[in-house]
Amino acid sequence: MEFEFKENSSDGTDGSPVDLSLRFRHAGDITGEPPTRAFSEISIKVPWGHIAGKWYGPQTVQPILGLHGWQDNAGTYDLLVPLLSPDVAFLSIDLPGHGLSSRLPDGCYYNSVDNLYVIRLIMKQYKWEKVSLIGHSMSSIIAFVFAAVFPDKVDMVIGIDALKPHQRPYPAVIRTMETRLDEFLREDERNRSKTEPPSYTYDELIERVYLGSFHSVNKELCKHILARNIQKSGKYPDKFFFCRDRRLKFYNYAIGSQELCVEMAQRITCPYLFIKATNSSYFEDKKYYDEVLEVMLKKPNFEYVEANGSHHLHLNNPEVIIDPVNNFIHRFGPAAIAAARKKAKEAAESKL
Amino acid sequence: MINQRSFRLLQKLTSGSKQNFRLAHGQSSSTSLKTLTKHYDEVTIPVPWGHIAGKWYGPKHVRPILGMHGWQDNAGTFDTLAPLLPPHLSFLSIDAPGHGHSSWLPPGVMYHSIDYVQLVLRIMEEYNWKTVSIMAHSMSSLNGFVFASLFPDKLDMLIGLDILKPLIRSPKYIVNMLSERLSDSLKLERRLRSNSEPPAYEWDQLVERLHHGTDKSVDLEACKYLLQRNSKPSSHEPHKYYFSRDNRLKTSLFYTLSNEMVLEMASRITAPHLFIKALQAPYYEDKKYYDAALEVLRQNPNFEYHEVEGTHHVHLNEPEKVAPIINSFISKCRPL
Repeated sequence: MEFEFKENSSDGTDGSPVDLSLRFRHAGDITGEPPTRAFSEISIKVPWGHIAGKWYGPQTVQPILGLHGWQDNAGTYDLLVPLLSPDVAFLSIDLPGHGLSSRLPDGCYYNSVDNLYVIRLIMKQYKWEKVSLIGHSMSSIIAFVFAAVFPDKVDMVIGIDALKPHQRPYPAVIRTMETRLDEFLREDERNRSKTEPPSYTYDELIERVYLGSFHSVNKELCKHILARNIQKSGKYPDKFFFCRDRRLKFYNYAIGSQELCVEMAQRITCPYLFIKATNSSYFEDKKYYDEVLEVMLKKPNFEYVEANGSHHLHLNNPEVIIDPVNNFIHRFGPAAIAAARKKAKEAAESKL
Repeated sequence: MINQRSFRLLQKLTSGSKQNFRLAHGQSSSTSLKTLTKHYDEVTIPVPWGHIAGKWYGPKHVRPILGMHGWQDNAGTFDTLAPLLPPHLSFLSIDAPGHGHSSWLPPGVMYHSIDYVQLVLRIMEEYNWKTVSIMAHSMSSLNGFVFASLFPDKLDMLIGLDILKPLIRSPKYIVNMLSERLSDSLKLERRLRSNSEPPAYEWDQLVERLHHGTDKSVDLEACKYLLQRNSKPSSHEPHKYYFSRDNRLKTSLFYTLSNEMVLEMASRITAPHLFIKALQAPYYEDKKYYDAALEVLRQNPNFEYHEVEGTHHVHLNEPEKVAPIINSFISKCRPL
């Protein structure tokens, strides 16, 4: 179900009123708790609808753009943001089809490479010349690709737990392509059906999110990932259903060959912090990861951190990564960049 | 005088559904007008974002061969070949999304080459076909290869014209292409929103632009077959026309598959597969990749390979060169 956002701002972005009787901006909208940190719910206009997000921190500075993993949503950073420096602005968005954002039009595909275009659209709306990115999982890969494809449009990248486009065996890739094309038509049709999907109690939902993440998200924290992905049932008063786009199951996240990954790594020039969770898999043969990591390690502004935790460590135990993150943002984030630019401008002007 | 003639020509082309041109025997393609009359019905296939348009030749109760055109062309690409195909079969030449009379993809959505494969599945579902017969040119021929490798049981015949398989590009090329196309997409979306009409030209200029735009692959006389569904009269400049396909097609995203992946796909093709290479057309990639794939394809006992003299659009310029090969193949796969 889609609902109307009041579009009263001329630049295509504005605060968005969410129908709180049906949808939830954060876990507290369900449980009654306060948010983990105060935020403004925002809405960014895009050609097919809107992108929703949570803006934390000062509204007068360019925020770091936070992107979540596949089938998660903006809530993924709920426990990280309270630990960020208070002067840092952070905008955690819902990718198309996830959370409170519009889904792609009927009949259209989800390709992870299209998210590069989504980032450019957001940059255009806020008039950012360059973007500072933090991405988890699938979005960590997107940030890698973005930094390689648009090296002059990115100030800094923080990637969490997935370094580069994964390499999978050919039979698996072909099987995925086949299933995706075949079953997509079914899911696309079901999307358009007016009947409400199966609904569950709150506890059942938590269990499903916990299992769905392969136990990567701590059970008591699942609510943070859950909130923006569900809607109150119209049929059963105490139940909810998942309302993210069914077509997300068939996300095309193939980008290209290992050779392409190495070429991309070589093109990255921006300050880059990569955090690897030690209790999380590599999602591909480790040799591919190692080859690209080696290229990155040669760069003077690349930082590599290994931290104890699962794939969702930024949610479960953000305290183990917050120091390198804050330190990195302090040196390379939007505020540092703005200060450096101001200094350079003043130096140039004083010479005249 | 020239304007009047062009306008009358356009009127003639767009009125009625019969293609009726002067007969010209034994003349070379550069001077003759192609001939043959063949009736077709304009059809519309609903899709979630609009519709797919097509030209259905032959009886409706016969499952047609599905004809698919190349990038930035349209259903008119088979105008000169359709009348030469075996009369016992129907032929459905479609306009892909964004091309010809078909709907454009919604705003903000990018065109991807693999959408053509999805399109075949949609059309099969619309007409309830368990298997499909495909004749495809250029980018569609490439996608026919992909379809054949993913859905060997759903294909009963594939005729590919001039592009064999997904092209192999260097990583440098791919990164540059992604950068360019994504950036250009932003500009094209802006133009789309402004709703302004593209630049309009007099008919003869339009023909020249298409002829040169295809690197002279489409003969001057053959341009009209593509322009019929690819151009519209200007709403504010009398006697002028503009290209009416979706501009965003220019920033379509193509496959970035590795050579190994493509060879793996080639090995999965078991359906009857005819491929015709035009000798005056480029290979569009390092020929070694083409050769490697051809070698794998030749292991399919149902694969046939032919070469003909002609440009990338030989099937349109000189259909008589490819028709005998195609018809002989069709009569084996889908006999009377």
